[in-house]
Amino acid sequence: MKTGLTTHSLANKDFREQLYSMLQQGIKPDFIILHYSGRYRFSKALGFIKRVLKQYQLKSLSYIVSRNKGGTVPAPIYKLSAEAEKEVDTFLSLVKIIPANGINSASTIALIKGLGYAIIACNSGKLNAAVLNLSNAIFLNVHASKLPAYRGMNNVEWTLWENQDIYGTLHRISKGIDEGDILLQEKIETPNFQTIAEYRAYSFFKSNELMGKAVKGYLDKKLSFAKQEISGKPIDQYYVMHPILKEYLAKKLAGR
Amino acid sequence: MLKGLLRYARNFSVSLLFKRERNIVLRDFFRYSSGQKVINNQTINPWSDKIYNETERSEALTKAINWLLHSQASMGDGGFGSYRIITGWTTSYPETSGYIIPTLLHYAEQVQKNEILTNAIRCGDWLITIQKTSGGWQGEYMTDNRAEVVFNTGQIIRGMVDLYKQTHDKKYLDSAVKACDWLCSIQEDEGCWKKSAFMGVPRVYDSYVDAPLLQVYEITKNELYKQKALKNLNWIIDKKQLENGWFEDCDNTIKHNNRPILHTIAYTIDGLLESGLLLNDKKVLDAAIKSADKLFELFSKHKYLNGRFDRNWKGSQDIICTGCAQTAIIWLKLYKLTKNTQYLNAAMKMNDQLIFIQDRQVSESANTKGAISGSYPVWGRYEAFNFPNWATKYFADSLLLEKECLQEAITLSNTK
Repeated sequence: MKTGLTTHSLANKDFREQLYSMLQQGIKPDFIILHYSGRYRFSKALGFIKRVLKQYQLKSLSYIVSRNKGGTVPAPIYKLSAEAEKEVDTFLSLVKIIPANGINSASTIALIKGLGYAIIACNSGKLNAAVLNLSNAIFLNVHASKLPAYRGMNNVEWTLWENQDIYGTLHRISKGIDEGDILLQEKIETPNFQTIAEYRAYSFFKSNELMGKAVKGYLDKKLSFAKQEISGKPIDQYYVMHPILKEYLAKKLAGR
Repeated sequence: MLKGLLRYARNFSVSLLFKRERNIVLRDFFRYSSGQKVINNQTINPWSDKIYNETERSEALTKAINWLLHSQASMGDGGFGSYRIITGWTTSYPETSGYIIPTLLHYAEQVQKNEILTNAIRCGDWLITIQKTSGGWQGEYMTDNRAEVVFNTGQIIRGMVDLYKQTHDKKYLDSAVKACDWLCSIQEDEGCWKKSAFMGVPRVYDSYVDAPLLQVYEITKNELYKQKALKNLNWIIDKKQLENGWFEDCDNTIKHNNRPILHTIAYTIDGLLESGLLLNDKKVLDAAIKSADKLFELFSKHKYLNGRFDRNWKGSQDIICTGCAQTAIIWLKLYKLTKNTQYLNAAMKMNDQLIFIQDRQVSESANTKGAISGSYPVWGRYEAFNFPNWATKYFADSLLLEKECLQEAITLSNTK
């Protein structure tokens, strides 16, 4: 069975962390599908417009375009070491990188079909039914919370709100939200952080680290997929946390 | 159809003639048309991302209560009326005046404003004076001069019960008992009400009558009230609720009974929920939760709730504000019952939308400032160009309950 990853950018943090965890486990992925999402294309186009505006010294317009990009992204709190990043870059210079259209496009589906049996760490957003129905591919998702307890959005925040332990879960992507069979689930020992951002960054960083272990376990037949017991009721999943609740959660963490 | 179009044309043209009314209509026009968004390949209209902090929520509540008090002051008899952009203040509406009493008492208790109690008492005393000899109260507005109606009577009992609990003055309990006796005397054998029902047809939203019957049962221990309430609840659940949670015979019209309004759907669910809690009856509670969860699912998916829903829960018509507030109240009550924070989370998001609707940010007179319109936009089909007092009442109830639930959730989260 082949191993691979999908991403819309080779600089994507989650992608690099998952790749590094695989390398650490002695797994050298056979391919990387580099697809261009609509958002990626939009940001490229935006970059081009910005350059043109800058060139013509239309700074005010350039400012408006920058603002519309969606704000600044905070620097990652937990990230790979310089050595690890170097190892990832070295591997990326050797591995087969397959450029593709959007992950759900017909051409990408045909491409994946041609790859044969594969287990793929997926960093590509929502997959539609046509991709999920591919019989030769298993798509894995990293979920930084316990499943099936914390399905849905803002799961780290809700876990903290309910004072529960944070888990890293590797599960198969299926049609429902976070409903796929679980391959690996481990408790993450978190230090006593004082901000939501720290908890989130740490939880995702640690969850990404589990990718290598999960894939290796599956290839060595030491791990298998376990079905989740799900009620199917919309009320039993989690939704974007209201900012007032988030504010109280932040206060709670800061006061620890 | 033609009549409706002419009415709309008249309402639009008249409202545009006067500056303050024009401001309201134009404001809704601009924010409604600019609020369109496409979510899940569906055009969502309207949609507001606006989040209101706790101070803004308290201000919204104060404005709503002030408008209710202004409504009472504008009546002169102690009751509460509604404001219509085209024709001005209506006369008092006995039914809604009755259930505004618990809102005022709740507010007085939460913000420690005891003077509001006098407003509630004034309303209760007036309602006693207009109680029919049968024990029932008339339907619709005072000027309509209608006969007694089951649903309306039930809602006034709510006010009487709360006033009795607050003041221990027996006249309020006597009035409630008289009304309950009348309700029990005219219930059909199968458990529904036809005689003296609005439009003369049985409706499932009479579950909202069962709850006050049970409230009086709790005080008087008159088993008849409990039996009659249970009979009606079983009729609703066994005969009228579909497997998917939708209710037959739920609309307050004959014509649109195949797609009832959210307002009456919410009455039905809330009545089941309140009754289930009072009786500690799992069957009744489960029936309420089934429908409430369906609305939760629709709101989570579409980010707003339509004004009407057909038997497959397919939504139509613009937002009916009172129904939205009532739905938020149901979710908040379910939070209290289950401690599932997702109910609270959804109710808070719904209240954000309602505050956005209230927060018109235009110069307004006291006749509309702080009031919630019947529909959003203001010209929507339900209570078009009107500010019915029950929309503001439920909005205030929702904010009052949200504050309590939020405190409870924070305490729970900090102590677990």
